Amino acid sequence: MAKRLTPIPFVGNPESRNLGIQDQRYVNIVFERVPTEVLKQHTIYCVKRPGISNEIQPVTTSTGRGIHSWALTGSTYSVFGNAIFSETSTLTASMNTSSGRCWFVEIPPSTGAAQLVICDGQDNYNITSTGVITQIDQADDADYPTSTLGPVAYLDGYLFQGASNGRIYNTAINTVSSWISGDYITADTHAGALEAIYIQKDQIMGFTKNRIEFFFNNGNPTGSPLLRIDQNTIGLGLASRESLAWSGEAACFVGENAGDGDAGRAIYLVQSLSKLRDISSPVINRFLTAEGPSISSCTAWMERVAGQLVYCLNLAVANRSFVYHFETGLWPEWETSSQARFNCVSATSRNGALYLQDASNGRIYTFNASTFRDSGSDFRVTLQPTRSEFGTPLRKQETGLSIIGDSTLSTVQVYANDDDATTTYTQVGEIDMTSPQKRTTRLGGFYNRAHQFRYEANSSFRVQAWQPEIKKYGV
Amino acid sequence: MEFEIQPSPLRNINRLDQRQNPAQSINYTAFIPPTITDEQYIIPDRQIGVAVQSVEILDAIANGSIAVLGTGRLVVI
Repeated sequence: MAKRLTPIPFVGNPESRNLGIQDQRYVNIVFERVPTEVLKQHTIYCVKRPGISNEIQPVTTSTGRGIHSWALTGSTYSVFGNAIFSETSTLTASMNTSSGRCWFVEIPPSTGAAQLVICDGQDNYNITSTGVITQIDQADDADYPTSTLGPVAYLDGYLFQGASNGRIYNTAINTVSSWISGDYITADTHAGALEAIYIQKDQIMGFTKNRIEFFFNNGNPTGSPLLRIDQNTIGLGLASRESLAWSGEAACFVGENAGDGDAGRAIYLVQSLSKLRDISSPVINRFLTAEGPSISSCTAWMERVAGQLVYCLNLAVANRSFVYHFETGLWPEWETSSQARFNCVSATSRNGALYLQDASNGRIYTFNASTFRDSGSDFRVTLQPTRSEFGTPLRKQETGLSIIGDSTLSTVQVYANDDDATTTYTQVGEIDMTSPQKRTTRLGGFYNRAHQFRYEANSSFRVQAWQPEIKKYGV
Repeated sequence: MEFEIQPSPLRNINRLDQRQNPAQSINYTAFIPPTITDEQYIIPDRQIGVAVQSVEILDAIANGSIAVLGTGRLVVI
């Protein structure tokens, strides 16, 4: 007689034994945790990720380099190729660079005039609230730092900018365009090349390739106002500034210590300027290491998606996107309808809407939890739990399989891989998700089996667990 | 792996200089309590846990007749 096993939750992290897609992974979903504190319980739902909808297209084809919503003007500013746009209006189409990430920082009105500063790693572009844009480089101010890295930060009336020579320069107070040649501090405790700067609370973090140094505004009467907090220096650095993303008081990045080689890569979270910890797993760390120098081609963003904060890291060589969920600490993957990495490179939000920037087609999308297709194309949800022999190494038969989840349109296709040496999954059943009983039968015999569940319809999809019915042969 | 990050230390005294910190619009001066003499005595364990609303007491603090030391003692001069 077949035995109905305990429901197995659709929850898990990537378990790839190599850099393939053979083992456990959950694709194009978000894990949603609903706690019930009074009962000391929580429920984990596995929910289809939102789809992207075409919003605006400032330019038809161009490299996406960053977007930012400026609350002061209520507009979204974006950089595509060598052009800066406010919504669909071109502010400039003559930037000195046409690729690479651009960095944004808002300057408050207390400095004299509110401005949005965009840095492309060569020049600054200062935008006023009325849309007047001013390019700042060495021709405008001979003291403007050469070889800036891109990341900019504002603190107490100063604009800070890192340079490849390890210096963190600052403007004269309450200006964003007047630089002073001697006003800098150097991030060089352990001789690592400066990669980026980033501010959290009242400290500016200087990320070098092998250390993170922390600076605060010491109010020095001359030179840089910053002073290093020596005891805060951390013995790991930033693999690539392209991996750095933040939202509120949380920032994530791919860390490494270049002095120890790049095999030590991991993803780190620094939160509320109190703790810095690694959040990735050995499986994900292997992908990071395999990127090699191409880690500088990754893209990353952090935003709230469907009610929870996520960090999305898109890896170029692996062509995969890993998405960290702060609520659960889990890492599902996201991909396009053609099973490539999620193709959005930057994110921002305004008035409750989330906007994503495409890597190459000049589009800005909305990312709404009530959208279930990507620009009109269906994409696949893949739930691939870990392989099991279901309690016995003997050959057995799967007489039935049920899904515990919400009713929705269409079907879930059930696939199986019964040979650990291969990566091929074969369809063994189909479950009607419109039916109250979400069950399929006669799924065949095996020694051990890895299941795979696919859902591709234009509809919501929320499940909790699956429940196989297993019968040993001869019993 | 987890690392602790310490908060910023007290800022340089220049931080109090308006020229170094024009974003701050309120002038203030730190109160430096007078030295304790033989004629003074300390009320032990008197907690200053309530808001001081008396104008006379505020005046006394301002002119140095009463000093507030630390968080737990009221010094009457």
